[in-house]
Amino acid sequence: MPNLIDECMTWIESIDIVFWGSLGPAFSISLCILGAAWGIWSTGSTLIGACIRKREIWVKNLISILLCEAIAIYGVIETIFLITHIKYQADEEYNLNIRRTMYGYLASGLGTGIGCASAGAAVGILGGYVAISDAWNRHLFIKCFIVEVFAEAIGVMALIVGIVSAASA
Amino acid sequence: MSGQDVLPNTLPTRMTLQRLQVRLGAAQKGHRLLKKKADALTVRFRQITKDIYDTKMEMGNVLKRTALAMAETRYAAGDISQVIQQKVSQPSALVRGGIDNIAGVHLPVFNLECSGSTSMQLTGLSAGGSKIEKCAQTHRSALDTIVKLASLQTSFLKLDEVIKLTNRRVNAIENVVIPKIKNTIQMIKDHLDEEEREEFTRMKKIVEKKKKRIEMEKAALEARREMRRLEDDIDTLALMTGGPLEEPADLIGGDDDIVF
Amino acid sequence: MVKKVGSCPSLATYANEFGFLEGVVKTHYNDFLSSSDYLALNECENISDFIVQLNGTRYCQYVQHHRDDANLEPSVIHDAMMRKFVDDYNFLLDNAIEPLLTFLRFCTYGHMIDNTILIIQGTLQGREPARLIKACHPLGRFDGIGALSTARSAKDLYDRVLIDTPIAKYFEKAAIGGSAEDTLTDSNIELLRNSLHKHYLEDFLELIKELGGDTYDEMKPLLDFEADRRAINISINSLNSDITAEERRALMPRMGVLFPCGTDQLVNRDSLQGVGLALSRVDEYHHIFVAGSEDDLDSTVSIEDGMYKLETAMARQAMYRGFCFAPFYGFFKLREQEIRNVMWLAERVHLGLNEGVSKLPIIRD
Repeated sequence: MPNLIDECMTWIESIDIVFWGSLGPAFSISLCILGAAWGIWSTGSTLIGACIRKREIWVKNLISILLCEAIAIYGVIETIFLITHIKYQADEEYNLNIRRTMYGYLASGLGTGIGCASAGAAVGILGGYVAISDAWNRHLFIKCFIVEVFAEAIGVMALIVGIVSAASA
Repeated sequence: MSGQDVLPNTLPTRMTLQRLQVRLGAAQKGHRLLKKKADALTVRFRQITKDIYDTKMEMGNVLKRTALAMAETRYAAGDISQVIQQKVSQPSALVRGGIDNIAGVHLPVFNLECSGSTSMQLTGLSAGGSKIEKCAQTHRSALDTIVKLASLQTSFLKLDEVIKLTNRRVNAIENVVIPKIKNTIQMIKDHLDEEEREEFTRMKKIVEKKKKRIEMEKAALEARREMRRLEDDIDTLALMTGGPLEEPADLIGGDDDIVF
Repeated sequence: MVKKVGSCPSLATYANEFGFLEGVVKTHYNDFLSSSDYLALNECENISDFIVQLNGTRYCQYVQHHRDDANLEPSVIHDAMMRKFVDDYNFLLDNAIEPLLTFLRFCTYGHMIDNTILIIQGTLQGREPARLIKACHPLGRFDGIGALSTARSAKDLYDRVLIDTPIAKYFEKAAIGGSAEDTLTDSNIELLRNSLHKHYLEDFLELIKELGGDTYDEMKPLLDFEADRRAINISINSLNSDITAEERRALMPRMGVLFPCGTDQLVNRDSLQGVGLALSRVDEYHHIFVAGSEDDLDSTVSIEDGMYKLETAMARQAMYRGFCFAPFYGFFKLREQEIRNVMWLAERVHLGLNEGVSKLPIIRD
């Protein structure tokens, strides 16, 4: 067995380090969009169901959809930021730090991606119930919406931390 | 009363008079009896009217309670009417007709017979059983009232008819039959009196005539006697003088009318 | 054996699969008449007024063509409300996917049992089949319900029709002495009905156990209550009849808060006080019993009323729940209650009485 592990390690080490760095933006965009899509799916289906009987909640509750959409935009921002930073330079000094930088990008992308995906799911599930609460009692909308905004804030946090970590990488 | 109010085809004889007097007595007796019957019926009629009023008043309450119980049952047990209907195979209540006799009038009477209904058992076992039981009880009492009312109403109609009939009879006897008989009797009496008077007058006339005739005969006799006396005188004179004596004519023999 | 329906999805995926129907069913909550609606209905003078009032609610499209009729009966309102209920239910059913589909169908099995019993009874009495089917509860209709009345014997009935219906297994379980057709006689048909309901409830419990998760947690109290209500009603309503304790035990669902100790006590009681004693271990039921048996004569609040109140409260709570199927069940129960409420008011109004609203459990403030 140790042989196998050693071989794997050698194989992994043989992969170019820039590959790992490039996975960062990939994870970030895909996870963020996954989260956003999940959120829109949840919110959307519940919202459509609720709208059948209460049409007037439609416009207000599109904000929930927009919040989910924003999660995808966070992913896009993070990804663009990362992509513009990933450059292959041949000079000696850069190569010394390249390992650290590329893993930093990977971590930043993964962190933002997972964080935003969670935020997207949270916003999505909440969005559906905000729509239902709004349909029951329209005074509840603002109160419930604040909760949703805080869920959204999680995504913003993930984005900020992601960008900061990428910038300092 | 006018002259037309008499029995037709009556001969004004004493026999008819006698017969009519018997009839009058019978009519008056019948009138009295019918009047008594009408009074009895009217008393009963009033009683029934009062009963009907009371029952109808009660009916309103009973039916209201029934409807309320039904609503409660529907609330507690849902719409059970179909369930109950499908369960019933035998009538649990029967109405039997009977007859009540009042002053010779047969009045129909309805009687409700409730058999202990078993079809209700266990209905609404899981919901509203007590309500259903209560509802059934209210309906049973309502049915009781309805049958009572129906019985009273039928009696009412029948009695109404009979009373009208009896009253018509009483009035007919009182106002038509009795006056007619009385008039006829009067007429016959008048007739007989008239006849009597006519006879009397005729008698008088005859007696008068006879008297006159007797008078005349007396006068004639007198005259004959005078004549005879004169003849005797003449005879005597003739005797004295010797002349023949003539026989006198029979004056009375030819006259049959003379009654002494 | 219940066919495998899978489990109810968890928090993360529930909204994706059933969010649409949850949105629909929860917004139905707004359709329930509010307490002010009930007060307005209570003020009506006749059924026409009543319909005008209902026109101002979500029932408007179901009653509007009756607006100008004279001499309306309360049954018109019942039909209109039932039509809306059926429409709403069918909408849910048409859009549902498994396992919600099975769950929604389960909600109507109770009516299905009642309909089947009704038709069996009618057939045994030789009634007109068309009229029997017309009299059935619309939510309990199933394919082949018409064929029920063509069967001439109990065996026919079971073999031809019932065997294909989802309630066939209850007939099998309820069968006394092994074969299902023995049960279809007139004498014990009421016992059969309750036995079927018992098996249905137990099967429903199995279903929600399989669904698991929040659905189980939320549905269990509701089904327990349903089972307890059956047990309590059966024990109270059979006090004056000749049902033996064993027969009574056979009718009581083997579930609920009272089961098994309370059920045991209920089975062996033969007076109202005894039933009260058996109920004293559960606070809610005890309150209902005390309130219901106190003034039995003027019947302002009976045990049934108390049960309905409690059921409404529980169903309303279920409507608030998320990530489970309890709102659908709650919707079902609340709609049934609303129909009962409105019919009660309509009949009162029809009689010219206007003081009935206080005893009704109001669904929405």
